[in-house]
Amino acid sequence: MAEIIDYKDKFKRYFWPTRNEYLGMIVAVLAVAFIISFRDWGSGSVFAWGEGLLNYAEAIVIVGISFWVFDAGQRLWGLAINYRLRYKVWSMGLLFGLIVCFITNGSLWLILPSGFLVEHLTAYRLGWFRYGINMFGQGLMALGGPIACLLLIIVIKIFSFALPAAFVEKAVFFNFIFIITSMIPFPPLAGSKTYFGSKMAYAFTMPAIVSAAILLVLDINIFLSAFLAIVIGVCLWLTYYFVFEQTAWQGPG
Amino acid sequence: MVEFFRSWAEVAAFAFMFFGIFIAILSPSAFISYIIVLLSGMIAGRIFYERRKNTRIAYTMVTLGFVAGYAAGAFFRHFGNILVILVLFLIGIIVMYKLSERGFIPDTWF
Repeated sequence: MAEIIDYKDKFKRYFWPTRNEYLGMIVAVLAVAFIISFRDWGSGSVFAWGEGLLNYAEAIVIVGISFWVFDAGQRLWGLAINYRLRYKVWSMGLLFGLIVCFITNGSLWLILPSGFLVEHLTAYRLGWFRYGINMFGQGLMALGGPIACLLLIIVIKIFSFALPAAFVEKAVFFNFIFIITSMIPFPPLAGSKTYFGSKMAYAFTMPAIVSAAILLVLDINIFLSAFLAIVIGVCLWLTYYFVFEQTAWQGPG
Repeated sequence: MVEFFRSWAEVAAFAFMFFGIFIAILSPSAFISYIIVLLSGMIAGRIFYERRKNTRIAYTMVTLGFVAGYAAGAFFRHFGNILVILVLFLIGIIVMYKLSERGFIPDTWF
């Protein structure tokens, strides 16, 4: 019971983003919404402002919800291990994504919106083993985002009967792409935090999360998707261990 | 290997020159070409802002390599005026540098 009260208190004090974080999030949402709605500004070579703005607004809603859920997943997990997340937009990733979008005429979505910094909740972590900020903790915290987006796909699919079909299709596909790109082990993306935190954890979570997203997009039953994703994750985790990690750590002797 | 580390900026500038040509050739129109060079300038502006307290000569070389390649690619493709490309690239650098300086984009660097 004490843990729940403690967690509630942390949530109240440290969960909500600051003004600067919201500002960064808005920049990221506007840029990524433009990328995913690039092909929806009219049909063929005819440019239609009205239709385009409507599609852009729809994309803003989808991207805004997805980014918020992604960020909230990481924050909630962070608070559980007494870290506070600071959202940081990655302008170079956004600009590169926009360049790729223009070159490919919107066919390729490169969604590289942000990373995060971690603050240490000093009083809450007193007495913890490895008291300070460590890479493994950050790696686990980073996983909260893609897992939250997987849950968002499930929620959207459950309530798909009440939502417009085009919205559901776009939201599910966007989250699928976002999960994959966020798991790329390139700083400052979430995948890099997990990779540098623990290679073995990455070897399991990357294939498990990506395969879960693929299975959910393919309309396979939620429980079967989760089971298959774990099986795939374990198989690739073991493969990675026996092929690389086992021999890599035998040392020079 | 030591030689490479001693002159990595030249190698990177050369590689980015080809990257610039490649990007310019892929651009579907002159207008898109201008937008891409503006966005590329903004990336360069961000890099210059991050390096404002350190040496910038290597990054300047890489940037010049890229913009030279891009201008050459646009010239051969007949997509856009070279002068406009250079001006837009410069505007991109200045705009992003100023935005970063004034804290409008609370950004992260790797």
